[in-house]
Amino acid sequence: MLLTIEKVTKQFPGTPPLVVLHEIDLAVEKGEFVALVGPSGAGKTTLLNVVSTLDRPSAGTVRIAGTDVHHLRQKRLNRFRNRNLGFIFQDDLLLSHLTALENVMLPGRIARDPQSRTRRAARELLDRVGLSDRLDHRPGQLSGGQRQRVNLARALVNQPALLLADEPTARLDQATGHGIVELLTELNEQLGVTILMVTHDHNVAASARRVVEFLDGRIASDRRKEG
Amino acid sequence: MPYEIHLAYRNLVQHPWQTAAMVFGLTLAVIVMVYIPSTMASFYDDMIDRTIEQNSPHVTVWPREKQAGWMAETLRGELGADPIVVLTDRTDPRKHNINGYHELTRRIAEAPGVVAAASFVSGDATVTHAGVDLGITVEGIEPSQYGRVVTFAKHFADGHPPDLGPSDVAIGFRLAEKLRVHEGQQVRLATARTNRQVRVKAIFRSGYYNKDLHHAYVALPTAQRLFQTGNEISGLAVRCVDLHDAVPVSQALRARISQKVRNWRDDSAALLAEIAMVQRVTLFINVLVALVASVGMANVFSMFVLNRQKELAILRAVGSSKASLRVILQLEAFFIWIVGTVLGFTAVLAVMAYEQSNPYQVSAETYGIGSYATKPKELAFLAALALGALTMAGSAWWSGRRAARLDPIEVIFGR
Repeated sequence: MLLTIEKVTKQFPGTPPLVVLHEIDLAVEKGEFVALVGPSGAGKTTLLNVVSTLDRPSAGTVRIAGTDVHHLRQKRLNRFRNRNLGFIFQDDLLLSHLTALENVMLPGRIARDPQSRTRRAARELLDRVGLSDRLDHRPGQLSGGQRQRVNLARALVNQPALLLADEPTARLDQATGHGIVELLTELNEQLGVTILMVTHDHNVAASARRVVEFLDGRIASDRRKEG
Repeated sequence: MPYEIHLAYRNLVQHPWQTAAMVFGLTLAVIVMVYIPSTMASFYDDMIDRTIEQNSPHVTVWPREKQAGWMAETLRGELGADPIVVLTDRTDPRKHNINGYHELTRRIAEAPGVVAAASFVSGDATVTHAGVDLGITVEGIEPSQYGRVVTFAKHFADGHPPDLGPSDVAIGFRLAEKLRVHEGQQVRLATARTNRQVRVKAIFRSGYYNKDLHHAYVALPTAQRLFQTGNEISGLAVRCVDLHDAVPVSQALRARISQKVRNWRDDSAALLAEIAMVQRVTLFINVLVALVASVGMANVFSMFVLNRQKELAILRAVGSSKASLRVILQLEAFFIWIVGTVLGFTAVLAVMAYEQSNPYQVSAETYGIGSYATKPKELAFLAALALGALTMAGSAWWSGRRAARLDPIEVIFGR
């Protein structure tokens, strides 16, 4: 298993405490494309944040490629996140003062990989997402869809074990959103990238091979597509 | 190139107005911090140089005067009359001078910390020319000997003290202007005892207002004749190895000789007290300026960082360590410090260079000196350098601490 989630609970302080995730168990194999669906407040984004290591569970464990990530020291956790996890958020979280190419190179540079190799990988990825002619454009000079594609390229530049996508099409029009979903499917099918995607859009979820439905902080259903 | 440098550079370039505001703020602070103390120190040094180094001895040996001899006598009158108290001044009315001064000069010159000693005779006189009378101090000196004690050679046009003959006098340029007299012309010097016609051999510019208006040099024997002191002198001028050693040297001389010894600090006590007060006020103002500038800079820098919370959160999300974030902010602060300090130093040096050719004009009657120019003071530069470094390092540390505590989830998702 690439990702194993065991008895993960997340609660926020309050009177009474707000329990967002109730002892979630979930396992994702390498190469899977999993969509987490459910209404707002169901706990899907919280789970994604816990898996991304940006947030900690109140209880339970998260193993990625066999590593119990929440027991790593901060320095190793940073390195682990940088090396093994790629992120796409619903907002295009790009650094406004860097070009598209520089934004995509960023995880590689943080990893202290040789610049030439990172640059080559970034160029190839931008080419793959159809932005080979926008390398030197700043985020402000790109459309919403183009920015999300830069995000996608950045998420993949370090060849992560797991790609985490949080509502990647939420801020895009239908056609552009569809293009992003097609790209994710293509990456999953052709490169074998493991994807865990949060969406409330059942049409988007339909492109995933497995759909896990959340309701009130619990898994309501877990369906795999046939074939 | 590490990505931290790249990001720090890009951040600054991408926000030109904020960067320029911070650099400009630091530049201004550096200018104020260097210029004000340098001006004060230059003014002080100039005054000390012109009033002490060039125009007064470090230490002066005067004849030991007798205690004032006021004697009270009670005279009883006739029976029934009130007693009468009579005060009689028993002080020797004759001016006391130093006799046998050659031996004394030798003993003083041999004292530790003493470079040279020179005898002089001085007294009040009136100088007259073309119907103008002015009260002055006449100083009788042996020019070459006196020149080893007081660096007054540069006051003369040819850079050498004049060779004064028995009927020669050297006067200040302000006095010459008042008397409307030129070199080679005759003036009359009159003391309480005698008078004589002398020729203006040289006109000097001491840079010290009082000296240029109220002072004249004659040869030592000429002064002795004018003041009828015989072979005696009024005192001995002493030069120390270091101006600031004048106090211990004068203390040592007091223990060695039986004459009255005064140093330049005793003679300039009131002036030094005034300068010290002005320096304290200046220091206070400078500390205030430094504090305001530091707090302002730290504030602007913090705001600069605060506005980039999302960017810092993204960096954390993609794997940047807290230490890397701190390094980025420290590098930004370092760039601002370097550029602001270099610009500040350049500006202040340019102003000082301009002042060297266009010195400040000040009231000569008030300050003794007519003009001065600010000279660079290493300590002020070092203080500005250190304060800038501390301010920017502190700002970066504080902002870095806050950046490291950022919760990416909170910033990115607004939870």
